[in-house]
Amino acid sequence: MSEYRAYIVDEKDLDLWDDYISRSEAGTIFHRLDWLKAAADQSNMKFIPVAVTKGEDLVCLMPLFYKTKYGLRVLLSPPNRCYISYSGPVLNIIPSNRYKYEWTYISILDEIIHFAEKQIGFDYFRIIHTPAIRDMRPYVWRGYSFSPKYTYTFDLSKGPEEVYNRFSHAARKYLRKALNNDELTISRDREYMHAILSLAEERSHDQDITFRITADYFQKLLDSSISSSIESIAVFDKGNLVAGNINLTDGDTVYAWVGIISKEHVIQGAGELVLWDNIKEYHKKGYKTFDIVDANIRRLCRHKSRYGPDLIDYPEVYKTSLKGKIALGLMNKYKKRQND
Amino acid sequence: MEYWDEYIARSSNGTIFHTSEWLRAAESHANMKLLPVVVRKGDHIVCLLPLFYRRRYGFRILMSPPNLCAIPYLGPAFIIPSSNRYKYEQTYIDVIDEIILFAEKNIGFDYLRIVHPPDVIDMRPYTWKKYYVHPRYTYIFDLTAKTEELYNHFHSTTKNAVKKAITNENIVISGNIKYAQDVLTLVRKRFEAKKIRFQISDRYFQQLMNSSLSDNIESVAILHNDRIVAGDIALTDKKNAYAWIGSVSRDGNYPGIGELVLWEKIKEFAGRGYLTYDIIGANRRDIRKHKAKYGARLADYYVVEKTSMKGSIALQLMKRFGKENDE
Repeated sequence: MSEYRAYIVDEKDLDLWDDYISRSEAGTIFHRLDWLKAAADQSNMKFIPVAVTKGEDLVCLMPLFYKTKYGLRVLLSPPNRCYISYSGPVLNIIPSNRYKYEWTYISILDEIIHFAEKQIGFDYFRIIHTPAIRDMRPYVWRGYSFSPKYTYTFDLSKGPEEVYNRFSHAARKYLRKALNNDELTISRDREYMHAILSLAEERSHDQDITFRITADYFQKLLDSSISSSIESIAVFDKGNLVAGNINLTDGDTVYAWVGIISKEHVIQGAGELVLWDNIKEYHKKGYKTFDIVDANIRRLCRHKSRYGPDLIDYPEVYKTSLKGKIALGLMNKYKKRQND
Repeated sequence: MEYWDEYIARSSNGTIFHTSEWLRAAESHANMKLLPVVVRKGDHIVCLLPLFYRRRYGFRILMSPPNLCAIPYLGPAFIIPSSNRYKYEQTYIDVIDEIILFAEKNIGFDYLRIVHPPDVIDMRPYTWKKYYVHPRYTYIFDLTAKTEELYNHFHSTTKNAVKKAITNENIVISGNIKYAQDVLTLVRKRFEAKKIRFQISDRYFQQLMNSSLSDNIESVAILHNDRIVAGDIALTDKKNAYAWIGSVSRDGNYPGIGELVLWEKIKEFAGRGYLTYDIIGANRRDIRKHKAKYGARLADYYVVEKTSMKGSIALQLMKRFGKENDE
């Protein structure tokens, strides 16, 4: 019998959740309790906080989200439509050596998989891990499918000049234009966050894409302990918002969570200016990594890669029951017909 | 093919398995046709891709590497001038796009599989074209670390095993290449005992030994009364060494000799300035338990696959008839 035990954390014990997450290397802002609760509401899924212990020691936390839809049991980490980049298990293993670390890691994931399969049950189960978690063998050995995901990051510890030197000629040219444009003003005032979100929503609407960050979801985050980790930058041209970002700070990392450039007031280099100012600002504050979130969509990659960031991969795994496969197949067919 | 090896030597991720002589040996061993594909950008060669093709039961199979050749990684070798990251990435994506187009339109296949080495992580051009990507794993020693530090990563039982073997006065360690064939035979016997198909025929091995690659093939053997009781055949390329095949005799009791072979190779390759020692394969659960005890870094690498409807059936056939052991 396994010495590891997975169970659902009692509501009364959730107070300790964030403390554990903050002590773990793979824990992110998206793993924090207030974020998870907001995500549960936003996605209309049930938050299942799973813990794994080895004897008395807590060795892993795993946020799961569950719902049944059309008779299918869907289990996700993170849930859809929440703009959560990474989720999955957060382990806190103190390794005396690599062998013991690996042994413990595999045992924990085995336990989580067993718990998800036997105690919860699902027709579709998907986990998107943080880049720190790379060993997918426990899933592969159990027949889970895999898909690599990508993001772009800047190493801020090397200083802004080093980052700038990696910019393409075009990116530098646009940035210079913006820096020389005396009409442009930069504000980091939080009062513009909602304006940035509204602009992002408008842009999504223009592109026929559903914007997933609802005012309610965002407000819940702002009203929570997450609030102090949410920052913004807005660039104005004669009072008009022309570009902006909502950033998340998390340990030594910053995430460019939402980014937007106005199509109504087009100012050359405004996007580059936002990025450059962020790089300088967060380097100055001592952050080490700036993650510009998502390098998976082809047309966006061409744009983002002009800044010369590092490409980082992170793993997504999923498993589908036979019932789930049939349902997904039908759904995809239906979607394709709708698009045709 | 005249300039192939020169470009492989210049590429960022070319391995010993990409060299023309290894590819020729693999071609005859796998009974597949070698298609050496070159991608140019203007006048410059930016990528070499060795593909292997054959038809089987009416199915067109395209692979890099071919099955049953004990080649852990192959795929595209890049010679992309990296003036900056943006240009590198765009060229990389264009190259893979071109390879995919060429494989699909000019060659055609029902099943395609490419196994990339650990340093090629960007699989997006494949996933954008709906190729299936899955991870594989290996253990790699970083030989730039001090050997004592590497030893300290060993599990305590492994350290004890090495100590026991070192103090065993009845065994002799030999790095003489003349024992390579005997090591091969030892490994084959182990595979046969486990009823696993052994991939390396004497002919394949001899073809490699008779080529210029013989300088990159090294063996270590442990002898007891002039009989080989453990051994390893390792490969070297530019800065990396690979534990290609190895085994320990089950006849007799020689505690720690497998561990000793590995420890000797680590010291040897570190001393000669190699950067990494790849002990190839961390994918099977049973073998992982043993290999993980050495405390090497777990490295991942990607395999891409695509099958036509017809190819899905071919895949099932291959799994049935071509089952191989890559560890």
